[in-house]
Amino acid sequence: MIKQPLRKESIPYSEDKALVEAVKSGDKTAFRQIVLKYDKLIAGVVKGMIGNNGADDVGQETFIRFYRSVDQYKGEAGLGTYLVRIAVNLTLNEIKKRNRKRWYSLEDDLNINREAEDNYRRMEKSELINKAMAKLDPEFRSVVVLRLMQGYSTKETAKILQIPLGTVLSRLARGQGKLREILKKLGYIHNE
Amino acid sequence: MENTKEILLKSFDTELTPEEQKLLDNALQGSEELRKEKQEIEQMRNLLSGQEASFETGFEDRVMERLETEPTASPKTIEMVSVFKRVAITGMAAIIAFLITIYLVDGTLNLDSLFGLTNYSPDGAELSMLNLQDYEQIILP
Repeated sequence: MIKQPLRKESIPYSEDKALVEAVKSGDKTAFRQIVLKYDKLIAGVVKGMIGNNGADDVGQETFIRFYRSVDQYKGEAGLGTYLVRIAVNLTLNEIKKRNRKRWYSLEDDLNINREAEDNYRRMEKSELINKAMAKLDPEFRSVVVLRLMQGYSTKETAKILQIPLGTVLSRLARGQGKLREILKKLGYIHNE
Repeated sequence: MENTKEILLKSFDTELTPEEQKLLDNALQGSEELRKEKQEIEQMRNLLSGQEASFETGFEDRVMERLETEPTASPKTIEMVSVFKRVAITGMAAIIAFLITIYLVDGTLNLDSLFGLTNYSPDGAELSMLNLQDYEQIILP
């Protein structure tokens, strides 16, 4: 019963290797090509975890960090996987920063009640999914984004997040459980 | 039932053992609730996997521009500066809190109060010295 979601990353490894070597020797055109090839993948990860607000900055930072530390990339992981790992770490830092600031924030938490339901139904689906995802703890969010949104296998997810496979499975189970309840209340999943 | 729910969730992401598969198949056959739950999980997963995302137009231009304009300090250095700022602010806050406490307790803020010498009178010092001499007479005949 295992269903593999569509993977977004399908760039030939040899092409990536050549691009990275060019970037290491200071070729910015090669770096730009890397950005163009992987921007949608990184957008999927970052927006999946923090929504639209601030995603562009985190996305930019992901590629800048890669460029500044390109010599550290030895090619053990695929380039896309390596960039995703940077993106996840930066996004988790951003979430921590936002949680610290929440004391001062006037942003309301997603409050699902009868009055709000209609408003939420009018929201675009992607915006609603982002808001539902924001209700998950960051550690559950990251596995849900990588496994269910980006289509990485559970093993790849464990490798990217550098956590045991068992932890991925348990976080997936709990994350899905909570997300299902939220989406069910909002009418986005129902029994046919 | 809890166990079958766990196996159901597990079945979406990993291979089940033959025993687990059999247990799940039997449970699905016998429970409408479990079948509904499976349906809901499938809906949710399809909903999530269908999400496409992209940055605003011109993203690569913004990245290249940032590359040109930002300082080339290593991320480690930038992080250390940020940590140092937090430590410095916390330290300053602790010092200010300490000074306020001293002022509230002693009603004054001078070197004596900072070193806890406000309740230490010269008479007290003399008495301490006499006591010390008595002590020496007793111990050291």
